[in-house]
Parts: sequence; structure tokens; C-alpha cells
Amino acid sequence: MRYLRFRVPLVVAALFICACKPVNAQIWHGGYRVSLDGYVVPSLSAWEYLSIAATFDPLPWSCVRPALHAGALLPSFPWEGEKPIASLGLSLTLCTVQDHPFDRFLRSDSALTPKIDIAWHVGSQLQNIVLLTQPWTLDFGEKQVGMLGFHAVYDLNDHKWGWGLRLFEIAHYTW
Amino acid sequence: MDLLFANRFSHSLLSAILACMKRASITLCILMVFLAMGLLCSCQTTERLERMETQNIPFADYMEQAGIYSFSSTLPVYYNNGAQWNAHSLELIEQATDYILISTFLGVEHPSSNPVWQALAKKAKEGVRVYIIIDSSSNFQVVPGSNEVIQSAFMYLRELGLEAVEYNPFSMSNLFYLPLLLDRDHRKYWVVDGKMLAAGGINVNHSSIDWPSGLGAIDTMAQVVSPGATEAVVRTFVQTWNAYSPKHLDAADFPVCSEFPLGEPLVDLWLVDHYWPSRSQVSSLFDAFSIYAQQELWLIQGYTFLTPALLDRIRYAVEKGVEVHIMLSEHATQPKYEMASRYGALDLIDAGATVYMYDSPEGAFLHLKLIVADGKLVTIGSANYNLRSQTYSREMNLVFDDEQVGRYSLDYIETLLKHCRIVSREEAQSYRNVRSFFNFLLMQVWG
Repeated sequence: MRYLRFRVPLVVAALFICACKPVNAQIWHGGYRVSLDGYVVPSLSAWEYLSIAATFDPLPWSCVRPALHAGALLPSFPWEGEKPIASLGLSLTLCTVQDHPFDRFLRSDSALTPKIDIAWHVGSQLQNIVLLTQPWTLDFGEKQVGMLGFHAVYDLNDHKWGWGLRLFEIAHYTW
Repeated sequence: MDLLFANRFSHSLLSAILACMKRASITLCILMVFLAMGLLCSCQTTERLERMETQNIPFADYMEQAGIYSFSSTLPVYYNNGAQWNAHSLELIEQATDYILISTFLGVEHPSSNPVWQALAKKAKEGVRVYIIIDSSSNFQVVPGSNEVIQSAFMYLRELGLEAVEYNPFSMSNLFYLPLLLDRDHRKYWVVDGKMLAAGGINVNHSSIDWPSGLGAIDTMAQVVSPGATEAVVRTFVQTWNAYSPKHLDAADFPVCSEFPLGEPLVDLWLVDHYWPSRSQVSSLFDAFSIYAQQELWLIQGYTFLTPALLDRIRYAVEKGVEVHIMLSEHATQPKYEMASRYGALDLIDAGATVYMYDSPEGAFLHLKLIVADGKLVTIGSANYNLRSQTYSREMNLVFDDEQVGRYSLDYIETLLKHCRIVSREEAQSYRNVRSFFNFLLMQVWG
């Protein structure tokens, strides 16, 4: 009965998730996401990757809100032999902070929505698990803008860790 | 340092970048897609209308099948020009005690419109909840007849401390998917204290309320008391707000008064709240007027930009014996609108319609969007007789099937006719030139 060791954290997690009642009238379910990333990982190029993905946001929760994404990382210099990398992942918006200190500097109302992300990158002789933490994500309603996220990258082929930075990310809801 | 000013500059920089892009090439690509859609629609329009007419469905059932629902309502009160509505809106603001919801396609910071914003800010300080939705198209307004830019009211509203949301903002993120820019909220409606609903064509901007000075555009806001329609409009306001703001509202927080004024006659009101493609109601609305008109059809539509399918609806009505009258207008705020609407006059005449040109003695533009069939079926609102209103623009119209409303509307049309001339075929032919043609194409997506 090993799982009994985790009963307290599991119950706390379940209560936490139940407390995130659905926001009444969120109507966005998905869209696209564009980001610019750089990695220090032997299996990846040292140049930037432009990442494009479709995103699906099925649950209108104010915290621990999951979103699925699928797309590709496009290398900056494909003519030098670098190939696109497929990407599939899940992101979790941890919480929504309405009155944050940056709100008054911005044109429109925003909420601070820090998030974490786990993705699987698959390419030609390449398989990575990528964990992203992105505390600086702003939700404007129809789009989210994030910057300076940190990647922890685990190369499944070489069994080595690397790291990376997400310079910026724009997720735009379209439906 | 005014940090908000920095935001204004960066936003203006984006606007400048967009303006410098090769508009023609972008426009041409989008136009080809839309024109192809329009041509395809044309092949099916007449057959569809014939099929629907032979089914003999009562109007109420047709509207319900189209997802357009009816509510009990008082007779509408029309405010028939921008200045008239502006004065009345200031009274409504003054009398408000609970909440004011405003959705306007265009809202600008200008001496003509600032009294409205300032009155709303004063009310907000007194504890009245005020929420305003402005479309991002407000960033591209100029003084009519000049290149002098008028600022959108959005930042001004925030400086006044008002809660405001910009619908589908023009921003750098749109560069990754340009077609999204075509999604615009063209609706103009007000809800005050859950007791009053007004919808129509009048914006909170200079061109609508004070150009020409003291009169504004010839346009109408129709005010009704209709608890059911008001509830539906509150819900749509909240949904729109929540889509463009992280600070979500709840429709349950905006109670609607369920009572009608004592002794007032009640009529049926159908609420068209168009959102393409999931709630594509404007095309159904246009179809309804073509099908159910049996004797006479009036379209007061200054922004008529024809497509084959729209022309087919006119032709269909004419061929079954309906007298079709269409009123265009002089004195548009920008020449491209006038050229685009006039370009179609020859097609309308050849289809059998009578085309009128409204020439206001004061130089006002007829911005009204009114359709009347057989003196009984009436629609008034924001929907223009063009492709954009059928597709990417969000629109709101009120529809009535009532002889009193019909007579009231026809009486108003009679007053407009005093300043109209009938457009002859020769005059219509003179509007067919290359420049008008390109503006006609441009307005299919821009107008």
C-alpha cells in the first residue's frame, strides 16, 4: 500500500483542483502559440528555434489549468542541415493573479499566470523531454504573452541534462 | 513619466508599420478568397430562396429555425440622428443607478464624445458599475475630409478610471495570423440598469454624433423595454468582455428588471446577434426579408456593397413582384465608401430595384441600417447590406413583425425621401470607373 504514503498530498492536490471552480464564461478553447527558444543541449543546434504549435485549452479553470499543444520547432538555419523537430506537450497554468505590479504599465488589463510545461521533442535521432518554467506569463484575455522561461532538457538518447531559455512566447486564442 | 504615453507610442508605431505594408498585395489576396466565396454563394442563393418560400414556413418558425429568438418588447422609440441620441444618452447616464453596459464599434477621444466618457466616469465614481467595449478599429479614425487622426477612446477611458475592453486589439501578435484582424465587433448597444436596451447604428464618435456639428449622422438607435432581449444582450456582453479581459464578469451580477411599463402595448422582438460562422444570423435575416416581402421592400443602406448573392436576393424579390427600393447616401465620411456603394447602383437598377440617393441639406451621411417589408416586417441595427456584415463583423439587429412599428418606420422613410433623388441609369453608369471598382472590391473586406 505504497500509495497511502501520498494520501495527504493527493487529498490536498484534489481539494486544490476542486477549489479552482470553472470561470463562468470563458469561451476560448484553442489557438496557436509562437515562441523563440534557445538551448544548450548537444543534440540541438546552438541557434534559436522558432516554435509554432496549435494549442487546445479545454478546461476553464482559474488555476492548474491544463492546455495541450502540438507543433514543431523550426531551426533558424535549416539550410545548414538542421531539421524541424516535432513537439507534443502539456502546459499547466498554476494560478491567476489579477492585481500584479506590472498591470499599470500595460495598455490593457492583464493577469499574471505563471505556468509550467512538459513537452516531448522528437526529431531525426533525437528525443528530448523538456520541462519549462515560465513565471512571467501575462494573460490578456484573448492572448497570453510570456517571456524568459527556463527549460530543463533531458536527452533520452544520451541520458544527459541540458538547459535552455524561452525568450518570448505568444499564445493567441482563435476559437 | 507617463508610462501610458509609452504604450500609446508603441501602439502607434504598430499602426504605422501596418499602414506602410503593401496594402494592395494583402488586400488582393484576401479579396480573391472572399470574391470566390461570394461567387459560390450566388450559384445557390436563388435556389435556396425558392425552396424556402415554397415550404411556406411562418415567419416566427423560420426565425426560430435560424436560431433567432423572440422576446416580448415595448414598441421601439427611435432616436434618429447622432446629436439626438447623444443628448438622450447623457440623460440615460445621469439617471442610471446600478449599471451601464455599452458596446460601441467606434469610440474616440474627441471634444464631441468626451462629455459621454466624462459623464460615465462621474457615474462610476458615484458607485454605478460602468463597462465599455470598444472595437480596436477605433484606432484608425480621422476627421472627415482630412487626414487628421482622432485617438481611440480606449486609453482615455483607462485614464478616467473606467473599465474598458478593446475588442480584438491590433497588436504585434496578430502578425502571425493576419485574417484574425478581420474579426470586428460592429455592434452598437446600450443596457442601463437592466431596464432599458438600445441598439442601432450610432457610435460614440465624432462622425456619428457631431458631424455635421449639431446634427451628427442620420442614424437611429432604437430603445425598447424587453426583459428577455435585455437578458440575452447582457449575456452576450459578458461573453464578449470575458473573451478580451482577464477580469471576468458574471451575467448573474447584472440583474434585469422583469416588468414592463404599465399600459404599454407589447410586440414581438427578434434579437439578431450575429457571430460568424457559429451564429451566422445576418444572412438568415437578409433571406427572411427577401422571402417574406410580398409587395414592397425598403432598404435604407448607405453602406451597400453588393455581392452576387446579395444582388440575387434583390432580383429574387423583384421577380416575384415586390417593389424594391434602396436608399444610398451622399456625404460619406470617406470617398471610398461613397464610391463603393455607388458602384453597385447600376446592378441594382438592372435587377429591377429603384435606387435613391439621399442628399442631406446639412451635409450629413445616412448611416442608418433599416429594412422594412410590406409595412410590417422591420429590422434596425448595425448590419449593413454587405459581405462583411454577413461574415466577419459581429452585428446586432432588432426585428419586429408589427404594423405599428412598420408604419412608424415608413413614416420616417417618407421624411428621408424629401431629400432624395431617384438615381437614373445614366447616373448609375457614370459611377462605373476603375477607381470605384477597386474601392468596391476593397470595401468587401474593409467596409
